Amino acid sequence: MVNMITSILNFGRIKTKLSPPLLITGLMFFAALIFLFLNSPEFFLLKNIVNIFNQCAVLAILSLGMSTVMIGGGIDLSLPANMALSAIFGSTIMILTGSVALGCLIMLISGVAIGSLNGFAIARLRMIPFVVTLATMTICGGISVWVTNSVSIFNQPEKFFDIFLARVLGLPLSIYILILCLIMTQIAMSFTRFGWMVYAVGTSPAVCRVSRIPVKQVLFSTYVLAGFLAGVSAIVVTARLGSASANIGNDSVILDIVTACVIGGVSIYGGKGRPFGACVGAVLVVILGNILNLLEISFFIGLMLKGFLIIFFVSLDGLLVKQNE
Amino acid sequence: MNLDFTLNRALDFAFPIFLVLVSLGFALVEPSFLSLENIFGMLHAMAPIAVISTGMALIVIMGKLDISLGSIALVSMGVSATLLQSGYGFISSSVIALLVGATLGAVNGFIICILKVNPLIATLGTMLTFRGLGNQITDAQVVVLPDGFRALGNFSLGIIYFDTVICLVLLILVHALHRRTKFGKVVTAIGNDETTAERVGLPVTRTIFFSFVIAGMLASIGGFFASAQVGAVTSFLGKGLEFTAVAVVVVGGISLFGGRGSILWGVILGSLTFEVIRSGLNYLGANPYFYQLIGGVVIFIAMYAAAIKTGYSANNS
Amino acid sequence: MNKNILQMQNIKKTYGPINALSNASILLKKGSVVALVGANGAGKSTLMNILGGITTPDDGEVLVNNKKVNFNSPVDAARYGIQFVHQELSIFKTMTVAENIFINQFPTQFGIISKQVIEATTRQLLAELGSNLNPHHYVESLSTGDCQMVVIARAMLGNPKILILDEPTSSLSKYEKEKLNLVIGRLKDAGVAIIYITHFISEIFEVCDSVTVMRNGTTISSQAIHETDNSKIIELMLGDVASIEKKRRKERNKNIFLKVDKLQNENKVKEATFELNKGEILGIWGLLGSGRTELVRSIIGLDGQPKGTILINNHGKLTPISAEYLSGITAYVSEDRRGEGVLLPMSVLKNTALPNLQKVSGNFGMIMLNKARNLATRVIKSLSIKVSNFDQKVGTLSGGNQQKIVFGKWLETEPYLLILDEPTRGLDISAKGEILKIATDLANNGVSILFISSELEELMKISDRYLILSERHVVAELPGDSTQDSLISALSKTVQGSAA
Repeated sequence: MVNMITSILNFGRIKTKLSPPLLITGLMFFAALIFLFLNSPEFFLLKNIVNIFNQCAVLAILSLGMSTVMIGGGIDLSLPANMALSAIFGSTIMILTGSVALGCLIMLISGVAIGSLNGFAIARLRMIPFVVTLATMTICGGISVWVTNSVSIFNQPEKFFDIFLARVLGLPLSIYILILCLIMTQIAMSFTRFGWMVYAVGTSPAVCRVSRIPVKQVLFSTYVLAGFLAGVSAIVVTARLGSASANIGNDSVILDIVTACVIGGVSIYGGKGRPFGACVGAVLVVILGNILNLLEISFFIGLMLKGFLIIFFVSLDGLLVKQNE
Repeated sequence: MNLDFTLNRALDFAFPIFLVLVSLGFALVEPSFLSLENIFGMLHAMAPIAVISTGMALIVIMGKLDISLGSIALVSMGVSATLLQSGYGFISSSVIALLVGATLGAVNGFIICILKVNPLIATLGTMLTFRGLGNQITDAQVVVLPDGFRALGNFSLGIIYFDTVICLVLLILVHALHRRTKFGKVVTAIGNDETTAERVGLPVTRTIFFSFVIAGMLASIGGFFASAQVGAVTSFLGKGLEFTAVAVVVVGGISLFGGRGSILWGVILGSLTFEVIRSGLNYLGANPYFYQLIGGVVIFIAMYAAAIKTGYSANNS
Repeated sequence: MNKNILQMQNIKKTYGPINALSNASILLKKGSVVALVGANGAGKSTLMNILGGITTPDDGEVLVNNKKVNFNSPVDAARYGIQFVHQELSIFKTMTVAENIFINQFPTQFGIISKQVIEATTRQLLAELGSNLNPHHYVESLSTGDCQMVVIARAMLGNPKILILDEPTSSLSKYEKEKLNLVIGRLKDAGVAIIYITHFISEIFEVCDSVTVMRNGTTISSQAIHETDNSKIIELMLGDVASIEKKRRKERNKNIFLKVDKLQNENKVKEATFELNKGEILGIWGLLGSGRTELVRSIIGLDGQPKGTILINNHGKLTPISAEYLSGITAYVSEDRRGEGVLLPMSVLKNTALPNLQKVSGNFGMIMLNKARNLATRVIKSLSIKVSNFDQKVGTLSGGNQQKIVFGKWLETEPYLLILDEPTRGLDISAKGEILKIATDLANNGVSILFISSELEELMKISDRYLILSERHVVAELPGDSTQDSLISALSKTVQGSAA
């Protein structure tokens, strides 16, 4: 039966030039859109589409960061916790000094710092990415709750919200930020030395070492970049929610990020996928969430569905890798 | 070379010494901390985490990780509580809870052994899926357990609690399984090197599968103890428990790389350490979430220590 | 008494297009030790894998005690008394000696392992082997020799009639080798027949009764040990090399490029001192395990920092440099093409660009796609690589073309030193010829080359001089006009007074 599935997928691959995981994602997307068209055509109003993108901006930016790390062969479970803690730090500074610029800068610096901690432990100390970022996630979560005493910070300066909730040409600023991040990350991965090295390291660190690629630096940089993007998303999420709290880094966010990357064609094993795909995955995750809402399916079943998707796509990936050998 | 060796040995004793120091520290602040009553109280409170860590220890010695154990606890107790509310008897709901734990463990085993998904990703997926399932079943509401439960959960003969005894029994059983049966030896062998184990002809797939089933069952027992102590099943059951279990195992000297460690002493040392920290912090009136932070820091330190240990050979290449 | 216990006859085995065995055979008498030798790829492993039940032959027969048998798994083979001690020892470091021995067959009572039985039997087994290992010691604290003893003891549990030892001495000290020989003696006395696979030819004279030589998937000869000697065996292993037409200019100015002095890298490279001239092809010659790959990897620091001195010719003066510096001007074509040579799932474009990223990028680290494309096209054209376009994935190319990609990407880095480790392995005749021609052209243009090959023929075709390695030491340098005989007999040289 496995053979039947793979031959169907191979057929699809040859016809559409898309790899099997992307094929399935494409089909899901298509099916989702058709469903929405039939059941709630108001979905396709411009206003609503803009809203969808706004909703998924944060998830998409985080997924961009995660995709970079995954392409290099690693994983970073601490991104949501990073975002939450950075939001808290930045908001606190913003409130204390009244300076929006400083607060935003702190958010970015905090994101980079936490990313560097991960990168250092993984690249230099050679620790296991999964466990290290799990530990970082717990630490950041713990600090977040401790520092805020589980109370949200919501008295950021008005100016902050004025800036980041503004609309330019009818589109919220968050979408521009997302597009900017997407363009920069995708360009970095597709057209820079750094990006090509990340793909190579994710494919085979041994070949890279022989080719004199600085594997450690490359890996370190992926975690720093992901941390930076977590800082960016801290800014966007604080503006959107109107507050910063430990809860913005809760469990379901990491689930969404991994789902988005995995269905977006980014391989957990490294070397495959594109940041753009992760973005598309994020959009699809949000759309699926909306559909589940429409169908009044509980949030928890949604979690189960996402878990199932992750396992499905990762095993599919593993199957195909084995087939190609 | 001498420095390496002494450093290695020092690291071995680091955590037990740490436990002693922390205990003494708390005792200085609050003398009754080291009273017999308090100590047995701590043993009682740590029963849930100790049981779950026992399952985690087995998995880690095998060189793998299972971060879905807390969620398994939730689903098992969610099912059990629902059944109890519908009028099922105590025994049947408990047995069913155990079966649910075994089944969910089997799901993990299936994904890892048959679908060949990396255990880290697999249990990340199942952790979130099972939590969703558990919350779905309980509707994220608090399900109050019948009175008898709370009584049972806190039942004690003198100062020795019922769940402490069960916990110890389970710990000894699993320890014996690990040390004295063929199954346990295969677990250690896999933790050494899975490829070599296969090459020698050991029943690797079967052993991995059943280890996850056992861990699932132990998770549901842990969930039972946790809910019984409180008298209710909440959606917070098991949340973060798996991370603490990893930290417990690591502090107990069981290497994340597999193949090493004693389940009995490791789990006792680890869970005692974390319980001392938790109740000590409680006494001091510190924020309960500080505890979560400690768990993360501990994992970090332990991994760093492990990295140093193996690092001397790794850093040369 | 000296009955035939094992006969393998006319064994054939192909793996797809590769002919692993075309007519292999071996004969084993009860209680005797047969050495099985042959160069890399001769088919020894395949033949033994068939005997060990790991794979099945396409044709031919296997007779144990004069009865025809068929093995479908190692368990089957074990039933007939065949035990295989692999080169890579299957041991579990964190477990004890006794546990390692019994790992497959713990005796139990009601499911609990019988500790006393294990301990007693272990002591007995070890005593029979003349070892005084403690059953309770953890294997990770044991030396390689002792680990091997454990694996042999495990094999002995199955009461084997036939024991296969695959390269048993490659990681042993002199002292441990002697101990092993004693053990083999005891096993012989107990009636166990042994197949001893090795590439240390000189050693077989100490323990073996006869020697079977394989070459190109066929058994070439089978003789009693006293009827032959070192050189004869090596000659049989390597076969006749047709008179080699040298493809290199004879006249050349000796202009030193590199000098390596007393290089040492833990136990990978014990001692290496040699010189390399500009535009010279230095053929590195030695048997398997002599340390050739380790040597070339060590001088460019790929396996940790080596001790010793590396000097380079800097405007006539020999100046010391680090391995890292040398690596920066060196192109390394690894013997592991799939693991270290190419990124299989990635395109030709990306593969060729990888060591040349500086070259194809511009400001801000941006890749100039046209530069990268030009580079890929240059590589494809200059090496006549058969590929439809540079976006094709390297994994879909033939072995020869993949190897050309490896060459091509390195040539673009304009190296001063080129290291070739088994560059023609697995390639067809014409591809081999092309690779050799590329190497000679490069040397003619001034690139210095270190060339490792197990095929004497191609080594002799293009080498200007030879460096002979044995047991991780450089033991000799031979001139370019050395005869095949002198090269082969150079291999028989062992290192005098090698450290234990």
